[in-house]
Amino acid sequence: MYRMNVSTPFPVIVGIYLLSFIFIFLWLFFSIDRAEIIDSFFWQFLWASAFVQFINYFVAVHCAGMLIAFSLFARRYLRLQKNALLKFMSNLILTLIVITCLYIFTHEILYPIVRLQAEELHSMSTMSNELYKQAGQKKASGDYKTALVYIDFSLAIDKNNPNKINEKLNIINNLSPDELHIYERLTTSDTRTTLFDAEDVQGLLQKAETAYFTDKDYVRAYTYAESVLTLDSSNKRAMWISNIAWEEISARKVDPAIEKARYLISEKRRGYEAFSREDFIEAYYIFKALDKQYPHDPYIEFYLNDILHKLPDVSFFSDEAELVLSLPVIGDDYFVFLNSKDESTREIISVDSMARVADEMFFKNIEVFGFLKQGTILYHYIVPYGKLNNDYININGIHREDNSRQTVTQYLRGVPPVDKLKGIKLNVDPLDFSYYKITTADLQAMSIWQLVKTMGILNDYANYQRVLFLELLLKISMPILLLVFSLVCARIAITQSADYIANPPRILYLFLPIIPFLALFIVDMVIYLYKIITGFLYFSFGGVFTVLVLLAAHIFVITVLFFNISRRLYKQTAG
Amino acid sequence: MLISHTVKDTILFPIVYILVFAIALSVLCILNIVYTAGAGASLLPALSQDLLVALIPHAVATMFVLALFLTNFFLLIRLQRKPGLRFASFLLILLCSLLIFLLGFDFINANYAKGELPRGGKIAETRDIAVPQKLIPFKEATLYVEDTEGSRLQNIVIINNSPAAPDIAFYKTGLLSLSGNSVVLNPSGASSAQVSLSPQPPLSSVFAAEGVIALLISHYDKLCATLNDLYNTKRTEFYLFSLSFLLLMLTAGFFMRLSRWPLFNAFLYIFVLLLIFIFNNFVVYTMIPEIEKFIGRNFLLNIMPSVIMLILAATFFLLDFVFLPQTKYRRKRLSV
Repeated sequence: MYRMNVSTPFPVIVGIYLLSFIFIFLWLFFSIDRAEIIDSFFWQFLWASAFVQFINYFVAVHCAGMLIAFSLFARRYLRLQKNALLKFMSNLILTLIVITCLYIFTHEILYPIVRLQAEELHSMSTMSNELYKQAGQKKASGDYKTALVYIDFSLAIDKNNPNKINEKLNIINNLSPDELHIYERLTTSDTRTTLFDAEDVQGLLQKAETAYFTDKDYVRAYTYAESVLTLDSSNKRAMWISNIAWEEISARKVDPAIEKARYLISEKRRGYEAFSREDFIEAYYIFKALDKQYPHDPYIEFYLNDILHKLPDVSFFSDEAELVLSLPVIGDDYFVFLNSKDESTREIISVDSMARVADEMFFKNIEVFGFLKQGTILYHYIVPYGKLNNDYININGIHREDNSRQTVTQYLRGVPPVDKLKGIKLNVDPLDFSYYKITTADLQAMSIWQLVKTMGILNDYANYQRVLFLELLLKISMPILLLVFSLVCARIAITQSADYIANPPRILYLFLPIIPFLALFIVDMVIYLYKIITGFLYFSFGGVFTVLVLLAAHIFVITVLFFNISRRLYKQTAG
Repeated sequence: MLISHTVKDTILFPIVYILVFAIALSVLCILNIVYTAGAGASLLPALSQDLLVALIPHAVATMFVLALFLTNFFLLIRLQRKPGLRFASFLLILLCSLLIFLLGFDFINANYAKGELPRGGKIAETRDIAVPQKLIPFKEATLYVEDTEGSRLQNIVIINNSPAAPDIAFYKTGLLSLSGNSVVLNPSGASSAQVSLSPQPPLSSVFAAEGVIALLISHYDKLCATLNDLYNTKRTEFYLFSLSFLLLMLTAGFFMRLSRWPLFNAFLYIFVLLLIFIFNNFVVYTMIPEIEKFIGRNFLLNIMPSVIMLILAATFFLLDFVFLPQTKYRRKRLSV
């Protein structure tokens, strides 16, 4: 009969690690809903999830490995000569320490990175799919413009999805020519070169002079002169032609064509003046209105594009924020933080919900409250929507189409110290926002260094420090617990070992998965009890006492188990 | 000499049973008290001795059935190692188990308010809750207090967690008090309403059971609920259910001597026990209500779980005592 040729328990343990990983991988492969994850993310997500789950269950898997290796196959390597006992025990301890060190490295360094990656892949997929779904609904209801906004957001995450690209083309085909023109304007990166690349300053100036002096077409002369000034604002000849052409236009008798041209030039001037004084919001609305009336005017196109590139520094599209924050996947992410706390003043900010799409972060119902520590209220205001821009929450939301739907700040009391262009200055790192609404699951998944970091971030919150410290204690204890579990399993397994003289019946192997399955229940239960006892000690008697008690208990248990196993093995030595 | 040892092993079973049960119940009660006190302490730190003592009845009532299960498990292990007169030992375990179960259930129901958890204002001092110059998160709102003098708070900001704006309210002064597991804030001023605040996760869920633990607890709770329900409404069915359940638990001990690998046998037994739990809950909470829709509630339906368990128990009993030779106990004397 074939006999397994194993001389140490560790090949069996490693084999059980591998089998468990394969099982987890296959289980996830068949259980993950393919519709939930973007195709291009799937394999990356699957490997990351399998790794995360394997580490989640590692202690149980390891215990199952120890139990099987030391009880089912014990007779292969536990019939020791007396002189080999010491070597066996030192090898056992050394190997367990190596496994524990690898566990620490994996759990503290690899696990948080991979877990975060898996979560991001999942949330990005959910967001992209939801946006795609919303786009489909809007398209079905005939609202192609909104559908296009949704699909663009979806494609920002899932760039190469052919279905989404086709859907976008399909939606674009349904747009009216004017809507398409507006869309192209909003999405074209920069038309500065296409507008003027055929002309240089001298050429344009020449045309302006010809139009004025030869053709007496003052409207064209003015337009060319303004174009020159766009490229070279100090060109005196262009300034002069622009002024005299404008005087000629203004002096003309009222004629519908001239009146129209005069209106156009007047509005362009107004827009240009707003642009010059860096009032990009005002300039946007002026040129946007002009663009609707004169969709192919290169001068309007040029300025509108330039404004669209400058707008993100001072504003954002509130309709975008509304669309993203109204998605069903965005829940109530209410959070509060202390934005500033100095010698005398305090500023508290509360946010009802937050959404992140690609690199953009939107906020809903931002309420800001500032007061003196003596109790005088300085200011209190509410902003319906905001968007993160570096260290600021920009609150100057504008609507793409309708200037009457700008984001309006509701000032309840006082005058706030808000930067008119940039918005609310943040004195905290926006990346920390996710920590302000931390969940129990987040805490449990954190590594030691993440917990320490979180303790710093949540320093302005009462009671969190104690909960974080308890989690920290548990995290630090886990590697030691792994060692304790290993020795307990070895001890139980040696006592309860199988006494098959030959190999065990093959049918037994079919039932072996019961051991890791139940080990998961038992290990989780013991860790849970450990948490309860540690928590009770810490909340009742303080951190120092708890650390000392745990340290003493661990050293005691490990020492007792080590000598107990040695004694047990010594008793059954063959020599 | 061999006979006297065998008889002695059998006679010792009731004593060992009571001892193991007492130890199991004590340990489980301590864990339950520690859990309950710790869960409260996650928000409100100062624990009083009175509270710990007051938690004992609740702990006994909660852990009694589990202690009995654990005792049965340990006694079954002993039955494999020192069977004595095996059938007599088995009967003694069953008898002890049944007596303790029925008497204990009577005692708990007569003396302890069912599942009632003592709570009160002694759990914490208000100073432990209103930490000045920090944001204090609660389920309904976040609190900020600039300064405190005992339970009197100064310059209070309440940031409500509600979709209706404005969320932020300011009060010059207010009084904080405890009501059960909640905190009540009485802001000064005639128009100011009382604000009741309760703990928020993760602060309130430090000891919340999750994953497989939550699953186990949920099945255990369901079983206890079934027992309580039968005890209070249908006493005959309760006795029958108790007998059949305990009998099934003990006869399932057959799995503890199925192979020549004791560790595997123990795992197999626990696995079978889990399946029995889940199956029983499935019958009581899913199958019977479905059948009830067609034939209505009647005595036969009430005793259906007990009958199923009795049939299973009889099968295990026959396998254990009739078909598997007694010599199987002496595993070390056997060869393949």
